[in-house]
Amino acid sequence: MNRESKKIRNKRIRCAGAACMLIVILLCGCEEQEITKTVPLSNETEEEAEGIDVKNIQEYIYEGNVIDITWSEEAAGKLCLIKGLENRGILQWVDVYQKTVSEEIVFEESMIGYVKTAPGGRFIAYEHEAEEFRELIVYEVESGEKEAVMTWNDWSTIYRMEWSDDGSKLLVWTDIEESGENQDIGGERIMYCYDMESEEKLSSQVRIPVNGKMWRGMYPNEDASRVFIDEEYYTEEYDWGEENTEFENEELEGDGEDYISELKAKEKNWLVDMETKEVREVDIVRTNIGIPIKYTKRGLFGIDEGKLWLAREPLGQVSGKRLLETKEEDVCICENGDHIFLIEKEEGTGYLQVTGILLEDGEIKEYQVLYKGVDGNFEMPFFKTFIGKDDHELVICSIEHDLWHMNMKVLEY
Amino acid sequence: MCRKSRFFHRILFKMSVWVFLLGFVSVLIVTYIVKAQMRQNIEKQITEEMNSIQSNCELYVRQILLINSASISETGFEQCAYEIEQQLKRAGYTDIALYTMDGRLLRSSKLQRFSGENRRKDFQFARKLRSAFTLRYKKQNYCDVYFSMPVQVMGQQVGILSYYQDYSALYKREWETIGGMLRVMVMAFGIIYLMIWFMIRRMIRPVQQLGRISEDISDHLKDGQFDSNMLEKLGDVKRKDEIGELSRNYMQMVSVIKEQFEKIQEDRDHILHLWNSRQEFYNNVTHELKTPLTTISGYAQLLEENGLGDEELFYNGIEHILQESTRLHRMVIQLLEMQDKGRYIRMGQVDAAVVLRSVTDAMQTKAKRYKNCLILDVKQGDYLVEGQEDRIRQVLINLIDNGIKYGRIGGNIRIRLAKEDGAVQITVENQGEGMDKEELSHIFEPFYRADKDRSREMGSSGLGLSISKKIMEEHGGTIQAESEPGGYTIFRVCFPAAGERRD
Repeated sequence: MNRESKKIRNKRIRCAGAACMLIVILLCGCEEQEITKTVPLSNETEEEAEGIDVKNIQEYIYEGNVIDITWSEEAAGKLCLIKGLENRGILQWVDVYQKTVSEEIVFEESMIGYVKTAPGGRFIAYEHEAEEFRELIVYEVESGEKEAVMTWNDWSTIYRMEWSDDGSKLLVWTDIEESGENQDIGGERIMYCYDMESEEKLSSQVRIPVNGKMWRGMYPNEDASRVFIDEEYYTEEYDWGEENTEFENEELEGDGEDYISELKAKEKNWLVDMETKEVREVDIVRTNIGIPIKYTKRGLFGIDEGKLWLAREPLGQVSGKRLLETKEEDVCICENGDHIFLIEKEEGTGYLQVTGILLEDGEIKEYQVLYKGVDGNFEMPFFKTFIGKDDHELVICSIEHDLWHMNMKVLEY
Repeated sequence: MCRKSRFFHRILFKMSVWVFLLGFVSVLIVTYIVKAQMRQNIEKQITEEMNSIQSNCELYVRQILLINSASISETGFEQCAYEIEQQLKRAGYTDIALYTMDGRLLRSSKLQRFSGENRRKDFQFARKLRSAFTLRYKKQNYCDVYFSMPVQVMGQQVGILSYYQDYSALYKREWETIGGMLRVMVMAFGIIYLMIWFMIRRMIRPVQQLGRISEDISDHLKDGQFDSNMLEKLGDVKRKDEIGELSRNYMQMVSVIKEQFEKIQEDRDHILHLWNSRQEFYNNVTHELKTPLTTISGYAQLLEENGLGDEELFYNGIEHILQESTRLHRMVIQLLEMQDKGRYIRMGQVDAAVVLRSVTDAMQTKAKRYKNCLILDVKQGDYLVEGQEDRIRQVLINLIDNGIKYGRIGGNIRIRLAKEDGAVQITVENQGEGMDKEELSHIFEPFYRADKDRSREMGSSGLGLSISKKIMEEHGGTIQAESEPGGYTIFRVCFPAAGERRD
């Protein structure tokens, strides 16, 4: 064998050796191996949150049939609740921080139907049934005085009541004339505004045309000087699956999707100036306020197609501003419009999750999860969230699974 | 080379092995990369999950401390350890352990899982206020994670939380995905390998055929044959690729080689023939020279022994010596003529008719001796040729002499002179025993005699026709013979007519 052949042979042997080693390494690498590895997480120290900082969380389980609840201006963590028992209206206070419950005060013996407590708990508005008529009574908690602000015959009805955020003005949506008679003017409803701190009580009334059968929502600003009114048809009461469905609406009849589209097209929204009684139609397509949430100092908040929108000036020409994605579960906004709380299901677990959003000049400054509950009780029949005293508390009330106990959570921030 | 060894040296085998090795290594590399990627993905997924767990746990701990009005401190954490554990359990974190900042166990959902935590690096990280998880891959698709984090509430370090999670299901699922992918890959590789194998085989087959054909041609060459019939089996000449080109070139090369081979064979035969002729010529010369010398020598000895005592023997001996020496002399002259290249022959215009008539007249006496009749047939015309009269005469004498000697006794010898296509043609025809083709092919060779005994009897040296051929070549003419065994024999010489000759 000459030198050249030896060289070639040695080269081949080296190549074969390298290939074998590569294969062995790969085989070893591909084989299942026992590996223990420690991975430190990135040491990014979270910056001090500048958003909503929860300082205290307290909860209280209340036993009883609560029909309305609101915060009390008396103290932080104090809630004012109304119980209904055999037509009696019972008032009670719960101090969630102190875990104490006040004595019950029976403020009405024959209370029926609709009860609405003013924010801060100073007034309670409710329907009362007398012998031949009905009346809307406002009960002043501090003095214990009752005043019938409206009287009407028994076949008329109050469609809706709303208190202003300062708890002094009551808005009533009804078809009852001031005389107490049912108004028979076709196609109109009346919105009354009662100022409970004035002598006259009835501060203004506005007539708004009716657009067929619909639901009206009233969204007053903090002092009820302006009220946003939206229309929503009762589309959900119709079962499109049933055959020969006859719609109650006499003017609008049709089938399925076409009918809903027709109804939607008929929906109108107004902004009412309660002082000048000026009623102006709002372009909801421009403002993107599909479902109104709150009329705050910052503007009107609403949800449309899974997004939260802010219309700073509902009557202006500027379109609404998209803030964030949200599910339409519950959104709680303070009267200033800078604290937003999303109360929703956590993805994956389905547990209650509260997310706090701090808005500054209409821009989201901070977005953080504030609370996670391990129960999903917000699906219960009674579930209410509201901002408490001085915009420093978020109150989450929900009925427990036994339907008799109410869980009240106060998140102080 | 033995058959087994040849198999291992075949291109198909080598390429198959290489393709297989490359494919195998590729599969291994892909597996290695995919596995590394899978682990990276798992780690990434677990890291994201641990980040989420960390923020959730901190939130839950904060909630519990606030709800229980506990101080945001290690003490509060210790006091609410049970509630924290319960809350985290409700939130789905079942395997947890709570520690103080100095690593003292407060609560543990499953003690056996959290033993020896001080040896775990993640726990050591947590004690240094850094969250970490320890990922353990074991055999049988077992994978679990220990996560340890310092719990920070409102900027305060309140304790350490360890969390255990079994990720075997995730790991197994990833492995199953990889396994499925690998199976598909191996199947794909198998199919591709087979396709490549068939392609290589198809590509190599013509080369193999060429090899076999070359081998066959080589085998036949040993027997002195060039068998190119095997090329018909080469069926890839129509291919337009390199293989087709190679096949075509190979075929062309083989046909050229075949031509050359045949030419070489022809030349070899010719050389052999020349060699044999030379040998035969040499043998004939020595034999022909030896015969008269033997006669002369014999008679000379007799004359020496008897002297003048026997007058008859003396004269008879002298006569024989004279005859044989004359014949020997003539033979030597003829041999010299054969060697003469004719360089110094001075050509001139010769009237072939005159020469032919002269020779015919001269040969009449010999013809009569054989009871033959020379019939001359000369047509009117111009029969001038370029040449040397003596040499032309010698040719004609040789032909007519042969016609007389080898013709039938009492037969006619026809001599014709004609002019055809610018050439002067003389034919000498006799009737006799004739010659076959084999004999005809040799008659112009020196010392060749169709009938040797008879020829010698007639005083023939066997050089006449070869000398005649040589002379004709010198004159730019031709000499041909045709014969029928047992019949006629015709000798035909053609001279270029004067002015027609082209050397």
